[in-house]
Amino acid sequence: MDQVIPPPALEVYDLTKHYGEHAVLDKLDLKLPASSLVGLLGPNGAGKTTLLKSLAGLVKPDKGTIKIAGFDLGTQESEARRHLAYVPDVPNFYVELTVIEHMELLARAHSVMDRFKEESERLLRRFGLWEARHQPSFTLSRGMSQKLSICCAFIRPSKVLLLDEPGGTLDIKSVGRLYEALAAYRDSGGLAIFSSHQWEALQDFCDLFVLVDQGQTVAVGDLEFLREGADLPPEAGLKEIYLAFMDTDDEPEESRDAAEVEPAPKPVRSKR
Amino acid sequence: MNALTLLFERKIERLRRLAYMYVGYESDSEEVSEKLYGVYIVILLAGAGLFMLAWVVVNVGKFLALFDIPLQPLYQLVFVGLALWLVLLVFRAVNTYDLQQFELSDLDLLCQVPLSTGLINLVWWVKSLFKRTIGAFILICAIISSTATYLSHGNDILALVVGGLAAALFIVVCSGLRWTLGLLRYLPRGHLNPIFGYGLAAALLVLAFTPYAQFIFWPASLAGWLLVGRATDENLTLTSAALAGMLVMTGLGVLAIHRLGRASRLAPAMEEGSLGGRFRLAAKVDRASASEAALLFHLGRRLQSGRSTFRRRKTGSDFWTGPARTVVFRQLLRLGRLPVTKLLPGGALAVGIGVVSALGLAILTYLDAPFILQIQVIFFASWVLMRCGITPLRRELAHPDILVNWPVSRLQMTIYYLVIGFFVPLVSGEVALGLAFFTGLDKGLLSNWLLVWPVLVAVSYIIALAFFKHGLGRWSGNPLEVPNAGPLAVILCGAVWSLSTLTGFSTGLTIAGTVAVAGILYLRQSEA
Repeated sequence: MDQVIPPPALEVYDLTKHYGEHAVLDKLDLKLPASSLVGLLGPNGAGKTTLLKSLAGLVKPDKGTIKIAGFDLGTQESEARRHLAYVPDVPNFYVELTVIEHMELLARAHSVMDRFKEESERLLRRFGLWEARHQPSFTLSRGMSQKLSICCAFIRPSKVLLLDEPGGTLDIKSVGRLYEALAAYRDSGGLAIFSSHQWEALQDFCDLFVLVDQGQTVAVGDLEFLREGADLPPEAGLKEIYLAFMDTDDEPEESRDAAEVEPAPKPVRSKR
Repeated sequence: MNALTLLFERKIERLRRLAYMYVGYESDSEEVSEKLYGVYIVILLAGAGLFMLAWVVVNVGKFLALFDIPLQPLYQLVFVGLALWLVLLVFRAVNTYDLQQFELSDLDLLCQVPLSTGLINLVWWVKSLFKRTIGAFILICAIISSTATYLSHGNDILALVVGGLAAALFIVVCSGLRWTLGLLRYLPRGHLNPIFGYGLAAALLVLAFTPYAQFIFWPASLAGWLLVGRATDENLTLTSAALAGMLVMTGLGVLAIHRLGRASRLAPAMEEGSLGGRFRLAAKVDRASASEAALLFHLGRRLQSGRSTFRRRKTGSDFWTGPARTVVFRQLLRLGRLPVTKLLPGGALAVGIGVVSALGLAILTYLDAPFILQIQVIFFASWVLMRCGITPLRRELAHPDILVNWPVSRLQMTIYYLVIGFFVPLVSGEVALGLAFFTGLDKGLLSNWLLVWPVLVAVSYIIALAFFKHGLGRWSGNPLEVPNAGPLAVILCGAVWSLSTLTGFSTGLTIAGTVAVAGILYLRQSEA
C-alpha cells in the first residue's frame, strides 16, 4: 500500500547507532518528502533524540547513509549542512553575544544579510523577543532560549528543519506562533521534523507521522493511512493509533489480564 | 546537623569514587586479587607518599641551607610578605563575589534544610580552608622554618612542626578576616562602600612600610617570628605565647563569622553561588568550557552590578559574510566583550608564545646549546604552541548545536578555527625574527629561521588538524567532552620539530616540509 510522494527531502538508509551493546538506532530506514510537517513520536528511550542528532550530524552513526536534500551528510557535509537547520531541546548559546547577534552570526555565515534587518525584526516580534534583542543570551529564561533557537533556525535558508521537543518550554501563545511559522515553512517547500509528546498538537498540525520504537521506524504515514494500518475506526485519533502501534507490554501479565486489554496489533511498516 | 553530615558524607563518597577511578580499583569486586591490589595501592600511595614527603622536606631544607641566608633580612622579608598578604586580603574582601563558593548541588540542598545562616557560613568557611594551595603554603612555610633553625643550629624538626602550625594558623586568621569583611556585603543593610575598602587597603599598604608595621600587622609579626625569628631565640614561653595569640585570633574569627553570618542573607550568596558553581563545575570538567564559564562569571557579575558591557551595536558592513569571514567576525565580537584583565594576558600569551618560541629556538641554535637542553625547549615550545593553536577551536566546539547550523563541514570549521589559533604565534614569531636582524645575531641564521618557523607552525597545524578530524569523527556532540589533540599529537609534534631543528637547515626544512605535505595528502585522501 504505497502513496504517491514527491522526491524526498530526507533519506535515511540502514542507520545504526550502538551505545555499548545497546542499539539505539537499529538499521533504520526513512524517506520523507519536501513540503511537509512530520511529527516524530515514540516512547522515552525509543531513539528519537539520537535520530534527530544523527540527522543533524551531531552523532556519528556506526553505519548508514543520511541524505539532506539529496546531499550525503557523510561525504557532502558542507552542501548538506547548507540545507539543514536544527533546534536542540536545550540550546547552548555563546555567553558573550546578545540575542540579535546570534541571529546575525548565522545570517552572515549563510550570506543572507541583505534581508536580515526586516527578517530578524519579523521573527523576534513574532516570538516575543524583540524587547530582549540586545540582552546577553545568558540572561534568557529557558523558554526564551528556545525561542531564540527557533529564530536562529528561521533566519537562514534551509530545506530540512529538525526540532527536538520545541514546544516543551514555550508558552501557549508562542506554541501557536511556532506552528504558524512551521506551516509557512512547509508552504515554502520545507520539511520540518519535530519530536514531541504533545500528541494533540501534533495531530492538528502534522501531515505525516513517524513512529519510532527500539531504534526502528514502526510506522510512517499520514493519520488516515496509519489508522487503516492499525485497523482502527475512522474516529480514532493519534493517541489511539500510537497506543495501537507501540508494543507496551511493560505491565505484569496478571494486571493486563485483569484489565482485559486487547493485544496490540503487529507493527506495520508503511509509507505515505 | 544531619543535613550537613549527609552533605559531607556525599562529598567524601564522591572523593572516594574519584580516587578509586584514578587508581583503577574496583571496590565492589569480591575477588581476592582486587583486594590485594587495594592493599598494594594503599601501601604504594600512602607509604611511599609519606616517605617522599619526609625526604623532600629534609633535603630541601639542607639544600637551601647551603646558600647561608642571613636570618634577620629573611625575617624582615617574611614579615613584609605576610603583611602585604593582609593588605591584599582587605582589598580582595571588598571586591569579594561568591564568597562561600557553593557548589550547584549545595544550593539544591541548602534551600531545603532548616540550618541557620550562621552555621552554614561557618561550615563553608572551614570547608574553604581545605585546599591544595593552602597545603602547599603550609609545607613551604614549614620548610623555611626548618631551614632557618637548621642555619642557627637549633632543633629543625621542632621548627618544622612549629612553622607548619604557624603557617596554618596564619592562613586561618587571614581567611577569617577575609570572610568577616566579605560577609558585610551580605548584610541586609549598612554594608561598606567599596571605595572605603579600597582606601583602607591603600592606607594599609603605605603603613606596611612604616616603623609601626610590626604593631599594625601583628598577625604577620607573630607568624613571621614563629617561622624565622624564633630560629635565633628558641624560647618555649614566647613560642607558646605567640601560638596562643594566633589561636585567640582564630577564635575571634570564628565568633565574628558566626555572628555576621547569622545576620547576613543567604539569597544573594546563593545567587552568586549559582553562577560561580557553574563556572567551577565547567572548570572541573574541561578547560575549554572553563574559559567560557569564566567569561560568563565575569559578564554575569558586571551585569548584576549594573556595569553591563552590552552596548547596542549597529549591524556592521556586509564584508563579514560567508563562513570564513563570519568566523573572524565572531572572534572580533568575542574580543570586544572580553574584560581587559582577560584580553591583555590572553593576547600577550599568544604573542609571547610566538616570540619566545621562534626567537628562543633560533638563539639556542646560534649558541649551539647542549642537545638535551634544545630537546627540552623544543618539546615545551611545540606543546605551548599546540595548546594556543587549538584553544579557539575547542572553545567553539562547546556549542555544537550552533555549529550544526553553519553551512560548512566539521573539517572546514576545524580548518578555520585552527588558523585563528595558530595565526598570532606565527606572525609574532616572524616579526620577532625580523626585528632580531637589528641585533647582533647571525643574519644568515635568522634568514633560515624566517623560513623554518612558518614550516614548524604548519607542521603543528596539520598534526592538530589530523587529530581533530579523527576526534570529531567519533564525537557525539557532547559539549562537555570536546575532542582534544592529546599527548600523542604533542609527542609527534615535538619529534618532528626536534628532527627539523637539530639536523641542519636544509635537512630540517625538508623533513618538516615532507611531514606537512604528507599530512595534507593524508587529510585530502581521508576526506575523499
